[in-house]
Amino acid sequence: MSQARFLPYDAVTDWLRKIAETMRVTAPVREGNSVVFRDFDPEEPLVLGHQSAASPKSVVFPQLEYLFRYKTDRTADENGVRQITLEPIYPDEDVFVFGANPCGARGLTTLDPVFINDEYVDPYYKARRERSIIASIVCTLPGDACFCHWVGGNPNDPVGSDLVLTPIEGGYLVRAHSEKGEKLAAGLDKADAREEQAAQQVEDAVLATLDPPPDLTDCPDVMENVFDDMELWEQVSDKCIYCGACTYYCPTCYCFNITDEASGIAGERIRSWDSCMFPTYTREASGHNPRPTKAHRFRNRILHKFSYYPKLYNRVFSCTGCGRCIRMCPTTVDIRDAVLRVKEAATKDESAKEVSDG
Amino acid sequence: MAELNELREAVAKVLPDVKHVIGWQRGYHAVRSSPLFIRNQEDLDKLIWDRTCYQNLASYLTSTRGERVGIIVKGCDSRSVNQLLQEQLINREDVVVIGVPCTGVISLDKIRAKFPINRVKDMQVEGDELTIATRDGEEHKLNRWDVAPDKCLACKYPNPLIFDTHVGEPIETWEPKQGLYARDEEFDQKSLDERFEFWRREMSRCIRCYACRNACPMCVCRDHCIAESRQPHYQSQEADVREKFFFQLIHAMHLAGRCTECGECERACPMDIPVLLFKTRMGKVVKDLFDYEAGVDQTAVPPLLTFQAEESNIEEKEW
Amino acid sequence: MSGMDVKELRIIGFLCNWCSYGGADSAGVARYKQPTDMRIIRLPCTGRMDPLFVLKALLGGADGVLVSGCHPFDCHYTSGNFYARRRLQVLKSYLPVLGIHEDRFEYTWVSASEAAKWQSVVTAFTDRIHELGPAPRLLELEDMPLRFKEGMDIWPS
Repeated sequence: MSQARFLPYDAVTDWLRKIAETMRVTAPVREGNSVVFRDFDPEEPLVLGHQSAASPKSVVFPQLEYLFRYKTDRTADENGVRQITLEPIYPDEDVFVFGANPCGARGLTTLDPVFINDEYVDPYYKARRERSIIASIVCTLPGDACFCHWVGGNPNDPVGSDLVLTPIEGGYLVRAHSEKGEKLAAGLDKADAREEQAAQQVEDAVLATLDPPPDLTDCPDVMENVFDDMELWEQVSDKCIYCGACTYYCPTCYCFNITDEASGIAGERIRSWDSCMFPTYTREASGHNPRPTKAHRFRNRILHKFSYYPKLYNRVFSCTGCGRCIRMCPTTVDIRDAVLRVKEAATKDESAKEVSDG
Repeated sequence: MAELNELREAVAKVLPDVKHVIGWQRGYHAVRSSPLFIRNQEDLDKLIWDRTCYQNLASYLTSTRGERVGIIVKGCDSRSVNQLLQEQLINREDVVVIGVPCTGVISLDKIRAKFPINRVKDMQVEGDELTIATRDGEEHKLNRWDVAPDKCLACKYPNPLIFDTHVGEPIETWEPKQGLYARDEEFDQKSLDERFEFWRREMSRCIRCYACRNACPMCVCRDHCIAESRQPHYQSQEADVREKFFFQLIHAMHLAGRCTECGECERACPMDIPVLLFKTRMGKVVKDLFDYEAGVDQTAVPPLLTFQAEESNIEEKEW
Repeated sequence: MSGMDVKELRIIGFLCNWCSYGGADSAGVARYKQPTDMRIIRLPCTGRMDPLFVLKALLGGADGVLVSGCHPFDCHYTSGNFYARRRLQVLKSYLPVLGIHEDRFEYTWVSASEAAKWQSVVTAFTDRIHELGPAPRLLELEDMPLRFKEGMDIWPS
């Protein structure tokens, strides 16, 4: 492991100010009652150690992205053809995300195989991913809706972070987990053994507060057993009002919509977030909707996160247990309950099947 | 407040005749509630009735049209039921209304402004005093009026205006703690430029999740909202403040003379944007122009669905 | 001050097909001098007027919006303008809540034969908008979607 560094609390602003000279720095601040990521402003007090309302997902997968713009010639050529000029718009800035939560940072790694894989590489996503550096802060106060340790994470999970900061007396112990992180932290003072030990204690102490998680490892194998049990899906989704809050705040949801917007002869192609909870998400041009009710849509959200995705990508859940979908839900739909209920029903089906097979 | 036992009895009586009765249950911690769809005795045991029953459950009614369901309503919630009936968006015979007088609920947003309610151990209620204990050993003592939603502070209808079953005794309307919402008065003091800036700042936080719309009991277009339509193309998918702001204007205009000011839009907003302000100010405009209040009289005609040849409060301008 | 002497602002006029559109046409035929800031959109009736049209225009860069239709009791469809009057008055009273001056929006009644009245209405309204100046913008030009900026190079002003 590389050399740990030490960043005193009172040096944070200066450190960020220096970094901000070379790239965009975004960090959490308070707006109203919400903690949101905003461009770093030395005058604005940072709110660190709390989970931000929205995850840092938008740094690599923004809610709105212009893919290209086009312009049509005003007049046609001799063949009656009007030329279209097309110009791609690629991301062109480096971004440093300071003060994410480990669960938010981990979410980025669940997007990676979707946008960058052997068959296809999304140039927009790839550019943003390569040009972003994430520093997360070890979470010392997991909230009531948190369940990162159910789905493979934990409050000091370095997955997805270039730098992990552990709050100890007087400052943060900074550990780099990538070359990018290492380079950024190089200017900081080296940490001594006592500081490293203190960080270890903080991390161990948080882990000790977590209740033992339920075993979800068989979810991808069994959950689809109850795909057709609409009564079950209706019951687990009954209080859902099918807004998109859960998916928009989710650090792992990556569904998008592509639309063209034109003004006269100039226009843009836009990629924007979409949500599987919206009825328009699957509505076909004919008007038919294969997922006509919220129960159908809710089923898709749960099965995608806990069955389809892990089957496709190394049995990793498309959920980091950050709890935003629970906390942000206007009607407090609890994904933990839903998963456990579905798993229970599915396992029951499974054992019934085994009996009849036997 | 009425006794939980009485409420449970009332629900049990209704239960055999309906698909489900909608009530409240404990959420994932002691200060949060969550809607409860009661289908059997086991569900009924989870029913709660206390100051955390903040959600207006009338939002669920339009989605079960044609099926007979039961619903528990507070005074303010009953206005939404009234309004839905008035607009014939639900059928009277499909809905069994269990009315409960209410002395006020609490607002998670207002509590959150005091401390992050993120690690709750439990909550004790004694009269108007709430004590919220956290898992970190802190105790937060709050007066419930300090954390009541504005609608409770200015409540005029603590008793349900419509019901089939009434639980408990009607309560006396208390002296409103504020004649008008304090926040609205403060807003009215702002200059035009300040208001414009205020909205620009607040709306920039919006993430277009549509929680405000979907939580609204009067947003009945549901799957056919013009905000998501390409034809007419009112809104693009762009996430800039114009689109976000315009969506709120769609919501406000479509609720003119219909909004019962239940505050679900603002309660639902994950970004704590004061979107109820749009509606209360619209409510005032409608009240001033047409002396009309939504959801109070089931037989009244909504002001924008009618007219007077000679309007009493609209002056003809000379040009 | 007259709107004719200074740089044009953007004013949108929603005009009823049966009355005000005819009135505006008559004013043109009669060669009445009028300011040229207004872009007219023809409606079948002011009853078709969705207040959102006005808001969309105001947020989309218009500095003023005028709706004009048949006089009360003269509606081609009997009562379209009566419904419109309620909606438009609600909108007008509501604009200050949004931080938009209510004078940026007006509705009025002009019949097809009132060419002179149309001239005075459009002149008075244009002057009023010029006194108010350009409307506040939610987005500065540099934050606008590119296509709008593109449009500016393409379309001569």
